[in-house]
Amino acid sequence: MASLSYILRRPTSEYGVWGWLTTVDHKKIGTLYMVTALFFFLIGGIEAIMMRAQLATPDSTVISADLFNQLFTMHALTMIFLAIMPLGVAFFNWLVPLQIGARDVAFPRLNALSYWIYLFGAIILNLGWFTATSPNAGWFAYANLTSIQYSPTNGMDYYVLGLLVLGTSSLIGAMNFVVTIINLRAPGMTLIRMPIFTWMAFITSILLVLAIPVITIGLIELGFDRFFNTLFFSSAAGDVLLWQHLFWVFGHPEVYILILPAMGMVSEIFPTFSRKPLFGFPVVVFSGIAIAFMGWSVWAHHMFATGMGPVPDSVFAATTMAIAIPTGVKVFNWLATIWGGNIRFTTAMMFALGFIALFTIGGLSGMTHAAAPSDLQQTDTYYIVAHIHYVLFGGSIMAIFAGIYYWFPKMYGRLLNERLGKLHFWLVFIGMNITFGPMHYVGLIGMPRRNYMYPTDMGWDFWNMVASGGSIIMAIGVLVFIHNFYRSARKGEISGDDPWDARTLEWSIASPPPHYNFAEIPTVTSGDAFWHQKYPDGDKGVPHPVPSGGEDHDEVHIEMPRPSFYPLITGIGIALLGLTLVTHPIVGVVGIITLLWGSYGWMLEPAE
Amino acid sequence: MEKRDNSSGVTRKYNYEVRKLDTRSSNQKKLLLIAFLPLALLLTGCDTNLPQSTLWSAGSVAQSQQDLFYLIFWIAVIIFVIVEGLLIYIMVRYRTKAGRENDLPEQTHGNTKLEIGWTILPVLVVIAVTIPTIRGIAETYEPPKALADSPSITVDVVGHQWWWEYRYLNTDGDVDFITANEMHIPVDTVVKLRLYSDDVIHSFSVPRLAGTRDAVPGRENIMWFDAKETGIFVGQCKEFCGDSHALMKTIVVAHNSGDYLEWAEIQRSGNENVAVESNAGWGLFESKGCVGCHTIKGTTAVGEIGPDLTHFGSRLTIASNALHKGKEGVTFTEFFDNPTKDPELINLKRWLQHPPEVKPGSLMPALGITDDEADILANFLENLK
Repeated sequence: MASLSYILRRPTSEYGVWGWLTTVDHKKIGTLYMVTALFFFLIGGIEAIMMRAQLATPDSTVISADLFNQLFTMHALTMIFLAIMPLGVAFFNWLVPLQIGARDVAFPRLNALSYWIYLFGAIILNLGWFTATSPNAGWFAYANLTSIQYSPTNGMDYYVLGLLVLGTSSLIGAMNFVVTIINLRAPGMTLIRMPIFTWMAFITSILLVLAIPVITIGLIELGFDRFFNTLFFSSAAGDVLLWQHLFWVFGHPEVYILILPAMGMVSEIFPTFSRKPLFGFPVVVFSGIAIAFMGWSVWAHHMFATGMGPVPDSVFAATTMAIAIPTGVKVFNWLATIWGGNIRFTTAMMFALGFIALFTIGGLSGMTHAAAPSDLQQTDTYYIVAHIHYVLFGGSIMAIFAGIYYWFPKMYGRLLNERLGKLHFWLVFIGMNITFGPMHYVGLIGMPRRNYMYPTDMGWDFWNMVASGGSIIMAIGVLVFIHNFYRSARKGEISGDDPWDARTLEWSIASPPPHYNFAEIPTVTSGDAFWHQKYPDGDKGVPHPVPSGGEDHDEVHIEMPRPSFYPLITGIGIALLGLTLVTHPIVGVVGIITLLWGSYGWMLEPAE
Repeated sequence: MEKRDNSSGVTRKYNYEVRKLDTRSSNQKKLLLIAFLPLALLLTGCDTNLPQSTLWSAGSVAQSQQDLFYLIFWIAVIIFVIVEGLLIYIMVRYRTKAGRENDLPEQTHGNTKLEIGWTILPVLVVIAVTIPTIRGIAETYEPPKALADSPSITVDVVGHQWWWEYRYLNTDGDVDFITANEMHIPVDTVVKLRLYSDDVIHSFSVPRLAGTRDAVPGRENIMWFDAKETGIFVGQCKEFCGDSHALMKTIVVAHNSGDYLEWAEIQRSGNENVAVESNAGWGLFESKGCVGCHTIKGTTAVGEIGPDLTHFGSRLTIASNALHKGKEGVTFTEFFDNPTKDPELINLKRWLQHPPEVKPGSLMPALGITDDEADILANFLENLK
């Protein structure tokens, strides 16, 4: 027995490479998520710049048709699955336990496993670049273009396997956060006292738990079609449109998975920098739930052109229009939050305000293609490209930048440089409007998307050049940000525990927080718990100092989960299994052995 | 509002008058352009030469789609101005002042009446746009009752990687004749389409006449349109369908009905007299294997993999509009405005010699055709009137 516990002993290193490889600390995992996702954000950006280089001029031959198709497919997959989603998860990891007054998530080792599977899934999805056969049938991968007959390279295999592995990661992560938020809230933190970001994390996690299985079914059927010659999506024996339904039943909730965390972030930032509570907190929460709920009833608005018939078209047009209601309500609540406030224009606040300005445009253009007849003209044109970028870049990415500027001090104990931050904001804000604004127009005058080149003299030349120019401005902005992030993490101005005079519990502890987060688990008596500690005499009271970082407790007495090798090992096992079908059966055998090793080690691992 | 009226089914001749009108107000237009660039662009989107514009309708379907777009667009503009205006107002009015960063403003938590108000407001907007939307949906499938008695033709459209096959039906519903990539129609006539695909999903779209409908393998889809003016209308496949998706283009040529009937009569005929031994072009067409994939009605060339070439010489474009038959350096738009063919047939020869270069992934292989052979073959094809 002694030897067994020796083999299974838990690693102890909190630092260095092994510290990162074996960590189960939600904050370190959050950082891993953030750094990895930012890396893929850059990759996706490079893919976008390459496409803009090709499209800057008509009849361009910078990039071949095949490479262009791989680029637009991988750009979408990278930005959605490898950048924006995991950036959201990075914030969940960092903030949810801190906001609810917990010491970690409910299942710390599962949390680590979720990260490792994400990393390996991302690698599998990108394997095609090494052989120039990346997925090339679009991120939506409409059958039957994805069949062996029409996509004979390995590209779509990487798509199927990469997304299946990534889906596992999302599912594990989402389950973990649902359980954490339900069970680990500090005493007194009822649901209505829960911070708004945690609320949105909760709703997003539930969406993920429900949406990922749908795409999993589609991916398994597509995988079977490709590897085992089944006929799920064959036009002769199966149904090519079945894929579209499965994909969009997942795909539309996915849009809300990408935007709800962003909405949560700005809903924290507006109150802090206006020094007012969130206006209509319950309404903001409820409209978030309404969006998530209604998000399930609109998927076929992606399919108006498929000719479903007048009745389904009408139903999906109406449900899609209806989702504008809770979204509009949220926008008005944000405006009311800053109305009458004492607004400080920090970089975080500027990005959050930019979010409202741009997301509104994305929402309004959405109305024009919720109207099915109008959409038949706009579908698959650059108008849609403009729309989704105003929602995902103007919405999600702007809010994520806001969130990074806002919470960076909590993560590193240092402030991001505000001067560089403002430069970053203006470059990105202006660049993004120059890039995506003209796409509305180019789309309306008939330029289809996913075209590797276009003829001259269609009226498209000038605005394409403008858009390509704008993308350079944006790229410079992102480089400024990367520089700022890298520099400030090491040399930034020391922030203190609560640099913004903020409202929620994460600001009541040290920056960066100690491993155990809260020396003493706080008792919560109201929403904006930390604010009411600082301003105890009602809302207008005089601030009085609250001891932060807790009292001088002896750390030894706080029992925290120990690091573990097994999430990493289990993750490697799953990745190898995923690769079996595109490599050799022996890889699968090794994968199963590794997976068994990982999971048995996991089970038998002693607590100490 | 003046500009919106211009967008309705104007003929080409009439359109020149519209342009003249516009030059008179060009100063105002420039001002508008600077002040409200995106908006101004949409206003002018209909009266410049934008052959594939969705805002320059030339048919009933495109017109109603365009009207619906503008209705929602103007509502959206109003909301846009309100929201962004409020945002800017708040940012200016409530920005903090030096030394007062820590002041606490009045702490309002909510206001039920206000919140009910701005829930009802979007509800009203949604109702206002949903009703005309639903009314317009049926008309994207079948012509409205008002057009039930107008003359009509039916064409079966078959999408292929990467070209369009058009099968004209006679009144009994049988195939009358088959052509490819260039659809000729009579003006002011309801054109009913049934859409199919031979391989993957394609999407038929000629924006000035009607929005998209998918051609889905294993299914039949319907759409219709009419043209209110004669002329050449361009369109292209809109659903991503593989390597040469960008080059799967088409044109619709709207004639007055006499010219259309003349054209149709020619299409019905064969071209049997070309298949004679003395014709060197036919010899090459046979020996290079072209006959395996292409049909020339009345001859032994009966292949069905590629487009029917029976009357190829009467067409304006090559390889589903990947190239046109005009001189090199002439743009598509210029060529369709003034379709003067290149007597040297340079584009056609280029296509015959290097298909995959012109059209990545093309099923038509490079057959090692020499310059001389290309010359003979191109002239042979161009003589298939």
